[in-house]
Amino acid sequence: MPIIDKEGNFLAVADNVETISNSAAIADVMAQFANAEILGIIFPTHHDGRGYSLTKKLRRAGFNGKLRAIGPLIPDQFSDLIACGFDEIEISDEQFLRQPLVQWLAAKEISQHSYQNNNSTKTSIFQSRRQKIAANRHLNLVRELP
Amino acid sequence: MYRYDEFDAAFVASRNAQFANQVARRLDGSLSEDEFRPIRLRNGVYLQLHAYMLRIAIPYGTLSAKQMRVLAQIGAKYDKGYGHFTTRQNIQFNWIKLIDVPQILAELAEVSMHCIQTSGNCIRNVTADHFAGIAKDEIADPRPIAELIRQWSTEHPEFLYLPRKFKIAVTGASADRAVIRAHDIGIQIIDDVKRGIGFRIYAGGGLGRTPVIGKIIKEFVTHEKLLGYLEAVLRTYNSEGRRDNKYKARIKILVNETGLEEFIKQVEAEYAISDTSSVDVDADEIARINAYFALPKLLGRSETKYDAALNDSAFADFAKYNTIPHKIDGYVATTISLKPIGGIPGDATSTQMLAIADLADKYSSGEIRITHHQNIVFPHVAKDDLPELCAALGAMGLATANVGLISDIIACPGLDYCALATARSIPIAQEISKRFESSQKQAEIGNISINISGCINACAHHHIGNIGILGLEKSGRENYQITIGGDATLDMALGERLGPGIDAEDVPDTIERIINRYLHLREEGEEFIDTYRRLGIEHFRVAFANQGQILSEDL
Repeated sequence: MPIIDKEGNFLAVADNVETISNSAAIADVMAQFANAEILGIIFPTHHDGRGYSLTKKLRRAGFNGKLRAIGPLIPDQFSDLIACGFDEIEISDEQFLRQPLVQWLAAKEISQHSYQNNNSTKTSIFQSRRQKIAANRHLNLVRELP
Repeated sequence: MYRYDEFDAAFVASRNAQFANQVARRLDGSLSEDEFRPIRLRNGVYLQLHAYMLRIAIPYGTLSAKQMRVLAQIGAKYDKGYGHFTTRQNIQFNWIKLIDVPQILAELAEVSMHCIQTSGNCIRNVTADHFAGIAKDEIADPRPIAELIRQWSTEHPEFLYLPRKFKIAVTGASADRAVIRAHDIGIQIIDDVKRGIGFRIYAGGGLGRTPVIGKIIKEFVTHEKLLGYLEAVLRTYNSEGRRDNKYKARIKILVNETGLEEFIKQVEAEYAISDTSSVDVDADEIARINAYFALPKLLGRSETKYDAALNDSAFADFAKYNTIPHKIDGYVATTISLKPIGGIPGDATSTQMLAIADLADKYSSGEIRITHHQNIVFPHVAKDDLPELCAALGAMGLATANVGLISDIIACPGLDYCALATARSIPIAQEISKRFESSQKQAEIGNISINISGCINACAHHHIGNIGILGLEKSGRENYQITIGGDATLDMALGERLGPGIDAEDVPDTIERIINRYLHLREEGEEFIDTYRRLGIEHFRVAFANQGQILSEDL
């Protein structure tokens, strides 16, 4: 099945991924899969949002392997999944045909602005404001120099 | 008022580009209807009975004259020349074409407006006291915190696919005018003797088919830590909330099924291990947002014209019912009732909206509020300008002096528009308001709220109306259940059913009999709710059941 990683690369390699339900308890998952190389979280539908919170909790609990979102997810969820801690997304062949890689890349590109701090490389709006305030302060200090 | 900085503006612009792209992908088949639906809803676009409906966010009910003009233009250009203000302080247009939506969003963005999260299973547009920043009983202005929550909750990547919709309301005054205990989360600003200003958090409130009154889950959170705490509540709900049945998916069901104590324990456990540093708000950001909500410069004014005008009884009524004192002497907050006798509650024509915008510029420092009662507020009116303002409003059919009285009815769009409705609400509201047209009669009855919902989803909050009317469908006929005793304040109470459902044409008579019964029973100085509380429902049931035509085969 097609896999897209967070850099937007298409991966078609077959691998051994351990999968868990999106309602799994963190303690159980960590007891069993703490050292898994890749852990897949199943999204039964694209609008079942439990996987987002589960990923946040797994990252917090110290899971260091790759996290893969598996299910009927759509390009418009790409950025949010990465923001919550996923590394890659696995979708069906049917869906990849209907929503090819170019749509995933475009959807990610279009949502570059975010109020939240998160795992992605994006700077949040709150951070940008802080930087601007700090820069202005610096500028004012420089202006005050003789 | 909050104004977008370059970051807010860039965010909304990119969201609009994204939605235009999503619409295009829906049209070319890349997105299925099932995939597109949550996206469409999250951008405020509903598919209603006759057309698409677009719901535009008016965050915490505050907007400028300039923004109101754009709403008027949208009504004229893309709808049938009017709009409908909702019980969550938003506006919706009921006759929109999907193809026009991206252009409408672009026009809204020009004036810092959007439709983001006005619908869908996400954190909805935040509401607050419509007298925020004005009311004398205020501890602190709730708008800065509501604005902070708006920004934090906007496109929050973790909380876009919640089990169900999630509504947050904030009040900063001792009297709750934001109905916080009927919300998924209600936030009350408090001034703690030891800890200073902070927030008390209620959760699990909500009306709908299972009405539940929100309960306190946290006695005190600081400004700095509020967002981190809210994330812990949302994460608990997102993980544990039911997804097997949409009617049992709201947080109120989770709180009830888990048990309040256990729910609080779960949230606290989540909060304890959360790294909130990424959402803790520093003093700079708090100060930045607070600065936007400073009062406009209000000059000292004489009150001679105001005093003289009080000799006119129509003006005196308007001043009595439609204004409240302002923090600044010589000023009042003035409510413009969108409940003319026989009118559609909450509707305003584009012409009226334009007039309101001009009058707000002239008499209210360009600022306007929308109330959850579906009325409009001019927050800063000099008392001496009030006679002129009242006359100008009167010319537009906007000077009905009935705020808080029996004809100030809250009603949902009902079966005339809504795809979920089981009965009409608007005609019922119109008939009741005509029945009590006399201003003398309304004054005699005093303060009372009537709320009419056209289905059990309870958009008009019928459970917490002093008189609640719920329209259902029974054997192919519209059937109305009447409750009394509901209360929307911090002492929130759910109304009790008076008896079996009745036909539409019997509703005005029945309401009149309930009112007559109250007038007969009440003691000096009592409002309807006081009499009900003193005597209980049985005294009113007598009036209800004695009427032959109501004693249908139901009994």
